[in-house]
Amino acid sequence: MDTVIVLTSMTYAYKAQEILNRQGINNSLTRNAQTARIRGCGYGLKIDDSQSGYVQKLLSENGIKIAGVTGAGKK
Amino acid sequence: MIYFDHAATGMPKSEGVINAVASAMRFCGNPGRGSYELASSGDRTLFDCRNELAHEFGALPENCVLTKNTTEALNIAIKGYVLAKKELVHVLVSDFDHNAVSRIIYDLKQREKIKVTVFESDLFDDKKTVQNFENSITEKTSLAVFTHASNVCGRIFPVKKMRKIAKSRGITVITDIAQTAGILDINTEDYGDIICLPGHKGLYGPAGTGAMIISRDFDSQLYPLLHGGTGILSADMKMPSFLPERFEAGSLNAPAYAGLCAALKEKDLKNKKLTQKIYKYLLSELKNMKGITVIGAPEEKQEENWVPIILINLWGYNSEEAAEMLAKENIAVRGGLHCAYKAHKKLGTLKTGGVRISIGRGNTMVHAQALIDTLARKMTC
Repeated sequence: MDTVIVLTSMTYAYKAQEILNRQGINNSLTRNAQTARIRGCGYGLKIDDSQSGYVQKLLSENGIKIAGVTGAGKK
Repeated sequence: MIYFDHAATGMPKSEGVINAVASAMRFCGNPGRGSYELASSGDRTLFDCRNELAHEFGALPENCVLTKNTTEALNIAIKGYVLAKKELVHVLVSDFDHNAVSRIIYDLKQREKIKVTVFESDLFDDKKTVQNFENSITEKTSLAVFTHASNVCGRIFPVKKMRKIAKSRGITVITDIAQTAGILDINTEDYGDIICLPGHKGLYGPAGTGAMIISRDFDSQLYPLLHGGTGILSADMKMPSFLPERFEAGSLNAPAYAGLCAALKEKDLKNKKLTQKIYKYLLSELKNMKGITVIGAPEEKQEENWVPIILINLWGYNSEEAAEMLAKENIAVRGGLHCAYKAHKKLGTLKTGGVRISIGRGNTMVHAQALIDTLARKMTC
């Protein structure tokens, strides 16, 4: 099962992806229905559920604004 | 064609820039409009361009708002700042501004949104310029708009020092770096809360590119000048509150920004030492040439305070006629008022205009000699 971290903008999505890539965390950019439910249209990063908590903390520490989280990793 | 109009746009563009534009025209869809490959490629292009701008100007990528030129950036910044305020804004401006600043200020003044004070710049004494700026500050001053270097005579103004004073007094600074971006090393924070720049002059990117870069700790909200689609938050009728989308309504020109991104990666092509050598040579020759008046130029050993722009007039020629005469000799310069009424007024060339020679990456000493020879021949006819 995947979690989608929804970001406020495309720029933040790419910035977040670079941070995760540097940490070796598997991820992929998405604009699926889950992101749309939170922000109308938006960008999300799909990650494995098991890493949701760590990823949210990591992104917040790096100044990335998280608009929402969908899927099993939602707090 | 010998090209001495780099202050208008940097030429020639490199093959790397041309190829990047061509490639993006084939492979970039509309950024922010889908998750399919073409749109994602457009997204990536814009992000890469912001990253390069952030690296060049010491900023955050999300604080790099892409615009079509410096003028658009200045409009977004100045009008955005003023229109976000309910009270009358007291603005300080210099006497060397381009119309990209002057016309905005004029419009806002006509609409009774601002009160304006013009502080005097001294061509040869930075201390006087800084003092004049400081003396113009009142308790009500909340915004200062600086021109980093004159597009007419090339003088670099002491913006870093004035910014420091402004910051200590709580005054927001917006700086026009149209003539210094890519020419001088600029860290956003040192030069303003917001800096506005072209992608196509000293950076040698494609025409129709520019940026408004906001410093990291600037916390005032600007009113967005444009409203429209951003590819995100589509259910919300308000523009997003965050950068850069707040100021980027509508489809962006991804191919042009791909070109700008490529240009930003080519810093080492600029050959600044040769440009400076040509500038000094031309200045020295022109100052000693019969029939030529050099205007607003540095005294000896002051050249580092000027970007490589020289303003001249030819005795017996209107400046536009002189530029046309040189064009017939295959030498490109620019005559007239250079969209800078205030600067020409200050330099005493409002009636005649001037012939602007601006030196850049593609120039060689052979070009410089050809210009000098042509002028010498024409002035002895």
